[in-house]
Amino acid sequence: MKYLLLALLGISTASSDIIAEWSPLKSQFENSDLKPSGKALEIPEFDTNGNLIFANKQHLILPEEIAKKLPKQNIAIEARVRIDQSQRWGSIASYSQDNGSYERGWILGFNGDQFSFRLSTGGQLLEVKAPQSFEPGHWAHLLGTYDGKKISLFINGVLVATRSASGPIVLPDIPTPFVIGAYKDKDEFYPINGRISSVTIRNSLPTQKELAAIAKKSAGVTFSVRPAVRFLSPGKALLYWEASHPGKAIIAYGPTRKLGTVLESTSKDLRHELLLENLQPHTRYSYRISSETDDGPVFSPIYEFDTSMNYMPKGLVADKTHPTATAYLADLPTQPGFAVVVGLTDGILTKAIAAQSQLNVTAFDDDLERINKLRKELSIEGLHGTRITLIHLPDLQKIPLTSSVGNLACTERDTLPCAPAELTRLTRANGGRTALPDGTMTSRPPLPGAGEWTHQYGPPSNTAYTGERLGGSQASKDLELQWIGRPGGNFGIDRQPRMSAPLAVNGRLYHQGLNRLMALDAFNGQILWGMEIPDLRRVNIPHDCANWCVDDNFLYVAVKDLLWVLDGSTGERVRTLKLTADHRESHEWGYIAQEGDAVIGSSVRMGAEFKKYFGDAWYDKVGRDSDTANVLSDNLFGYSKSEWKGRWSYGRGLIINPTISLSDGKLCFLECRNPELKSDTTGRETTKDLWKDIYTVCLDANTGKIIWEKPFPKTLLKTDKKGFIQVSYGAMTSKGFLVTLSEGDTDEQGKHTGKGIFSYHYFDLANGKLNFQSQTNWRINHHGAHISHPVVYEDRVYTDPTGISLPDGKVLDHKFGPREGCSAVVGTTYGLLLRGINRCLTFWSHEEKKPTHWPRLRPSCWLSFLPSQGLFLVPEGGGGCSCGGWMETSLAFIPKANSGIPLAPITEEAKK
Amino acid sequence: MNPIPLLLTLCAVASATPWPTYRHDNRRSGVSPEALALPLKEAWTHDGGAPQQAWTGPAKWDAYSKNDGLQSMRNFDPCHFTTAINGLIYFGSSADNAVHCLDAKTGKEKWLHFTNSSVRFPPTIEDNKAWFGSDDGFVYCADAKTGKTLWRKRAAPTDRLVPSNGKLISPWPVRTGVTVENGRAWFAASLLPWKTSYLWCVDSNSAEDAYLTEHSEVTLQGAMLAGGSQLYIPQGRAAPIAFDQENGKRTKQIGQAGGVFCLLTEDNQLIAGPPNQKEQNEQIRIADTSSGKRLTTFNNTTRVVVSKGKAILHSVDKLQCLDLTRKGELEAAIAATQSALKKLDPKVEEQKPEIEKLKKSLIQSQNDLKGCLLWQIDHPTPVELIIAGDQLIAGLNNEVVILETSSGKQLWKAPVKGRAYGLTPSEGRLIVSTDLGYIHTFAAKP
Repeated sequence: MKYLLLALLGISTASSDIIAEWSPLKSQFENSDLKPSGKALEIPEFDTNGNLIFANKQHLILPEEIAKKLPKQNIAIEARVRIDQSQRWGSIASYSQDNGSYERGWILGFNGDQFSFRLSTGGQLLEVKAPQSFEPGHWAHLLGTYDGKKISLFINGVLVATRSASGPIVLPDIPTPFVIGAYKDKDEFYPINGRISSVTIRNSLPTQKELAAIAKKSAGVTFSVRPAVRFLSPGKALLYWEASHPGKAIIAYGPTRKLGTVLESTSKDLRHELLLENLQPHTRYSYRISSETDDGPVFSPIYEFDTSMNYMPKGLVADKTHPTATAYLADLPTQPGFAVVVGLTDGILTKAIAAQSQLNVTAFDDDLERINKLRKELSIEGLHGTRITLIHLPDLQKIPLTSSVGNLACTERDTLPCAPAELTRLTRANGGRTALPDGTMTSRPPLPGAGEWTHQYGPPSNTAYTGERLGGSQASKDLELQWIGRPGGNFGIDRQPRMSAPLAVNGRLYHQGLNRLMALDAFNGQILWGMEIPDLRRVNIPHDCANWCVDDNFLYVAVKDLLWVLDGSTGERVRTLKLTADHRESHEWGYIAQEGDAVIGSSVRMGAEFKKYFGDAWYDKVGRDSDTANVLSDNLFGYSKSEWKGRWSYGRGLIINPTISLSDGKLCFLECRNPELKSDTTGRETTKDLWKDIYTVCLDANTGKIIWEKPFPKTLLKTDKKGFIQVSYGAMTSKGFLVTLSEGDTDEQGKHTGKGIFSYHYFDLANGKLNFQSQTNWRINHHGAHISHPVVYEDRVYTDPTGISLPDGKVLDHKFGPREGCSAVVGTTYGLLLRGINRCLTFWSHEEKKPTHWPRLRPSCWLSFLPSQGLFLVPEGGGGCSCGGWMETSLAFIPKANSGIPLAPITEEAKK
Repeated sequence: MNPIPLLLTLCAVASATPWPTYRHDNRRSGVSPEALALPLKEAWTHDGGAPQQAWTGPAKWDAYSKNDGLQSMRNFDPCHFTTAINGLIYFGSSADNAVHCLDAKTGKEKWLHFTNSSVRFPPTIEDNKAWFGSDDGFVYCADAKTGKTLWRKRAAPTDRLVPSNGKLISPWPVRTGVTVENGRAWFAASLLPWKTSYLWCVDSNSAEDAYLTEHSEVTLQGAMLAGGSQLYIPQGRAAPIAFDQENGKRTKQIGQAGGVFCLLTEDNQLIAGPPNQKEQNEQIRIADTSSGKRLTTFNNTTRVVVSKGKAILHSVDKLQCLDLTRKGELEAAIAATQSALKKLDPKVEEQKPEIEKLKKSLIQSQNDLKGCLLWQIDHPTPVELIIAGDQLIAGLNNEVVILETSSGKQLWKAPVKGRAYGLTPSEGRLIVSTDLGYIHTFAAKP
């Protein structure tokens, strides 16, 4: 640790207002001692940049007499910091006591993942807190100021919070440690995890010019399109981004934060693509982008990607012009998957299919001698079991493989050794190809009754029901394992804390993890592609909307201020869409949906979206607080897919994101038209006044024109004097727009009574007429029960634990469940899927009105399972929950009726 | 393996101690009686292809509970583990689905026996037979010299195959290895807790059934252990289950254990870990298999090896040797004293002398505990620890080292490619398997 006292108290320096400064660098350290005084409390360790590593219990104790002589007003305390882990009561620099009612001194620090500055003028510590979360691992410049009247907090030169106060700072009058890197007082000690490169204390407040200089210096590298890493093949990945200014760009990357390898982009324009080769497997890499500016080099934060997520198949050396293989593979998507070959001759076609595609080829054959000969050859080449697997089967009439696996199903022989129907059965639905020996090729259609989960809650109408029949399944026993495996526990954020749901369409399953996304073949689990996107993450979806949606061809992903349009089969970014011109500097992409030719987006204030997940980031605390505030959009706009051009925008009030619904060309939502709130917003619902001037609005999704608008009726429990809105959801049937509010009860003093209701408000889709208002009671007010998202059928709506009928709004005569744990509920034609018995995945039957479950299958804490494509898809969502014996895997179920293999009990014959 | 004949064999041919099953014996002790003649020199390296593990690593952290550094609890197949006997080395491959037999002297492949899916444990070798299970749901017995199939038995209830990580597996893969003892072979076909799992016991020569028991809501994965008339099967993120070896009936769940690192001591204590992902520290616990109670806990460690009442383990960049027998006695005494103290009331005058006496005894026992630490040295964290005679062999990242068990003094080391998870000292050789798929073989210098 280096302690550098640049200026002594009361002595003028070159920077006349700096009264003390510490720059904890290695070169300023002598053992554990600081120069000229002070001490590191643990043996100091430094990173490669020479910064002291604050970890475990490391912190610095400074001379208390300095703290006592600091100004009591007209003080500015600034620090350049990198917090690696959010926590309670984090302190960067402090001289404070917080012992019951005895609160004295000041603290520049953070609580949870929000920076804060607190000081006492004799009473309780007064706090100003950043409204947005900081990004762990990213450097920031913090500045807390007090002029005797106002406490202010600046981040990277920008004012983020301020409040009034009066009088001088009152310091502790008992012995108190003056600390950097921990909160420490008489009886409390909270060390931090991260870096602090400087702490400076001034006796004057910064000028606007100085703040602008800080902002410029803190900006680092600026991007036109944020960076991403896409895996190409084993050991190889592509890092790409677009700079906001032309100039030389360099990346440094390596398996530790020491980085190491340096590459320079040769691009002459703004687009940069760098091939990263010889990457080690199962390694978490760090990288940083730098670019030249007139003021010298600037740097991005240090980002990460993990090669454990690289599941791309290895290539093989073989004939890549085999005519039959070429014909079989023609026009099939260029993506990994499975090929199933029934009957070999010499293995050449099998090998050619593997060589000319990214498919894993499994061949079944009845000649053990032939199989073993080929296996040995392939094993020597390192191909058997990885790209090509040969399986001996005495009888090729019936292949003991679950149905609908092969992206390609064929034979090497002139005569098919099984019935054509068997080959078709093995062919994957949604476009898998059956190739018969006579050259006939057919494409398999989707499974009967299959639905498509294209948006957060199924269709863009948010019903959490797509019409998926799941082959008539009504219980867990009606479904059989279709595939199991990756991605696993290392993919996501432990319980996927109320993140965007997976999506599935056109035979593909898309899943988000910890700043990453992946596409899988829904039918065989093969990972098609994966991307690591540092700026991807969005959480607290119940109070916001998802950051993605999909159609047959493209995946639409909101990343900061842009919409990335990705090729669904390869992950290649084919274009980006921008916000409306008036919002590009100040907003980020919020809502995203697509239907027909329309892509709908919205603008939310920069930083309004929730990103924190470490610690108490649970977003379902009963009552209103900063974590249960709705995210609000300032406008909505429409793009055309056919032209990729913007068509319209609408921005009258504040649009409540979780209410936005789209169906059949109509876009419905709730909008607050309170002009005061419109002009003074952080992009989140900060006041209950939001609900005073609410309208229900229906737009034409293709033109943006208002079809109808109505003042929202009185809520059923909440009044101006008491109660609160916990969540608000919009959904559409073919006839109506349903607004479901979760309303909590309070007494006149605002204290929650423990009770609440779901209130339903159903508007005629044609004219906005209110058809009915109805209500059901909360079952409990925790574990997501009180923020239950509705499952909406044409004739019923379910929220935990019951629901209402449509179109009359009568309360149902039955309950479903038990629903346990934090997840959402989704519907199929014959039942509800939820986290239920023993907090495991559960299937509740509409007909039997009983649940059955899958032991040890833990979904995420919002929505990580979906009935779609005729399958029940369950990508990994809860493996990081360290408290149970969970299976920690992704898997899919297929209805038993479609699985193709009757499951017989063990017979005496079988035992032999 | 039958321990009695094996012991006799070892006594008779002390210079050619084999390693006939996963971690040497059915207790998975990782202890071989014979030391290696040092120095060793690398004889050959075989590239077995990168292991295709059944499961990925764990989550980066449990962010909600603020637990980071979560441990993998199902890491039972990080490398191609080996068995070795009669100048031959065997391994099962999760990469190419085959069991391989190599000439120990040259590394040349003697035979290959393919299955239809991954083989995650090395074959158990006895009486010139090799037994192994596969993810295809079958168990195989092959001639150990030729690889010729002697019998094949379906352990799964059906032939059904499903995709898994680019391969096809049975929904009932055999991921317990095959335990052979007294002419019988035990194995389990299991994966999905919502499906019935099957524990088999068959005649090891004929595959004729001795018994088959069915078990619900379990996932039996990881090397099976046998000892004290019980079988123990890990479950990864749930506690291992004990079964009566004679009839396959489930007897108890060892609630103080977890993970897939399991070994049985000579006095039937089950050492296993990690117990769960919730603990901040990596832990290995010792449980009394008769009561299921926890006897002691080792913090900040993932590997322990026990021999002759002494435990060698690592903890935070240290290797240490403990007198486990004495430690157990003292901890039992401390627990008993604390229990006795709880029953006494310090406010009752006539109980005060007894309380004082017990407190003194407690302090004495606690002080004596410190004496259980026989030695401790600074040392990087190993991924595997085994014992060969008076040698401790530690597998490290890109290195393998041999130390004196009596002092921790380093005797020999050599570089390897990758993390050295598999260590097999056998017949004068040290065979090292790494997570990159390499099998290095070191032999005494001529």
